[in-house]
Amino acid sequence: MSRVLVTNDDGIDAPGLRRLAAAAVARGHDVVVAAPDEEASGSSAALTATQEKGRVVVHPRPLAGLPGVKGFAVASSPGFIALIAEHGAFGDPPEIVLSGINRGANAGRAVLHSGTVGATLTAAASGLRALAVSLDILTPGGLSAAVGTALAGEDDRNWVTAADLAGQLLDTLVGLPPATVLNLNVPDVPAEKVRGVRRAALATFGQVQMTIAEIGEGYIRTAIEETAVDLIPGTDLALLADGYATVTPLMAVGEAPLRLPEPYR
Amino acid sequence: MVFTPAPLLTVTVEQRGDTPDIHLHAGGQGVWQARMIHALGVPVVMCAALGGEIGRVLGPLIEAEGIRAKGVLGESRNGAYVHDRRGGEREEIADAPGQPLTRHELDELYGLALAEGLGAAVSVLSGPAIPAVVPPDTYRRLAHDLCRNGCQVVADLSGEYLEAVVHAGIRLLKVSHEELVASGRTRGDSRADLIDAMHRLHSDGARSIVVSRAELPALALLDGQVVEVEMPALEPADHRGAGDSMTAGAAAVLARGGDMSTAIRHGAAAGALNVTRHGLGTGRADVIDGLVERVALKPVTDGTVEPCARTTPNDLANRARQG
Repeated sequence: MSRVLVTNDDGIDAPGLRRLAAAAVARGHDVVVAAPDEEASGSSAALTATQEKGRVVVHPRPLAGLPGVKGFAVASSPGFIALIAEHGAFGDPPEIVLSGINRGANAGRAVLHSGTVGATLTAAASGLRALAVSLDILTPGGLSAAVGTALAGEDDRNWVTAADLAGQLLDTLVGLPPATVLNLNVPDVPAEKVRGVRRAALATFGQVQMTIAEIGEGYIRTAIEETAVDLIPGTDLALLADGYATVTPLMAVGEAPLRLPEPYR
Repeated sequence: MVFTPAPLLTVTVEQRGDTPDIHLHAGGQGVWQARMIHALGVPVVMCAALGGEIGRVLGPLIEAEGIRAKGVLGESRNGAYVHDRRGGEREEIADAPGQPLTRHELDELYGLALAEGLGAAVSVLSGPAIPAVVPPDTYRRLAHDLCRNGCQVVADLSGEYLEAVVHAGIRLLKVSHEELVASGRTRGDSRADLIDAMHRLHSDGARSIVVSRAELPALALLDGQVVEVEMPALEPADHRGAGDSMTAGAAAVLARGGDMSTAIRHGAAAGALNVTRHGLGTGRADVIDGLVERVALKPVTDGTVEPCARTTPNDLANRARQG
């Protein structure tokens, strides 16, 4: 049994968060949930937080269907939550950080910008194991294509497919070296329609979610992707399009093995 | 209402032609502040403990200046000093500090100040004199009771007296950078350190804060924004009392129903004028009015200021810590 923090970048009320926490609880882990109090997509590993009277704003938030699991809504970015959790902000520090289930794929090199992935890279920077989980709601062939993106209700999405695969991958993650980060993307289809789970390379750009503020309209969730390029076989985007779930181990920031010319040696 | 628990009697000997000239005045921070507020045309009542022979003399002296003095007439003697200025320099002949107030005197002074404060547009809490004759707890009770009843409180305090009132919800806290350092509320006196300390004072409950910095522009925090108070350029003569004038100038504006930025600009003008004149608490209302327009409140934005706080992941976690 490990101490597990579950966070996300869609906010404490997002449906994917509860499903991911439930998957960890079902596998016997000691789970605490702490997530942004509002949408934080595209926040990468940003450190932002709101204080009141010198205290970071944190509200206890029970999670539907998860009695006994402590949940907290935090006025901050997911990267900040992962950072302070390691220092005991939400009880005993976690050994593993789960982030997701994100509403939309986090694939390709654009994961750099993902708040879901940002929380996991933050955790790994101090040696924790971490898993980012995303549900691909835009790939052709998925539910969104069949029903129409705007029409599919949140609860109609195949969160269970992603949660089950995340749970299985969590069992594997526990045995991998410290600081391992895995990025899991799952097609938005029933479990039996997933063709398998494949290790994938990162697409050149890929796809992440962000929010764009429209003056007078509030925030609009937006998937950002490079659509003009062909899918390269073996990449996460290509495999997702073929109906596979994808796993990519990611590296946290480190020194590049590049020799510099004089005088910079 | 100016809460002045322990006014002093000042005796100054000067030379006038062939003969010595002896001056008797009331003194001490609260008296200087009351004098300035009065000079700005706002009626003032001073609440003070007046005890012993010195106290009996002080009451009429204060009243003679047009300031209403409400005194607790007790046993504990007020402080007094005698200075000789005949040589041009200020030479101390004798300095008799005041005696700490008895419990009974404290209770009476507290009741008097609360009654006057509840009826006043603004209450100024001035310092307890040195050495202190009134404990911080009296300030704490007074500040909390006045704020709780919707009164505007301006405090010019430091150290444990500042700590006693900061949580009450005071309208304006004036403190000098030296006092902030001495209170241990800031690591250093750089602008960034002071701004950091101001944000903490604000978090602790002070609604607006102004930090005077001797010859440097004062810093103020109002409406959640830190500003640098750019003073009119004047030839300074005496820094002493500039801070007290600032407090008084701001309090006078608030008493007339003015807003905080006007109050701080007015305070800055009063402080700037004060330093050009020997004699504490002096300054004419019309001159100050003329200077107010030259006082600018320049926002200190995050982009132009050096990083204003240092923290660690652990510190941040402590600020969020649950259970």
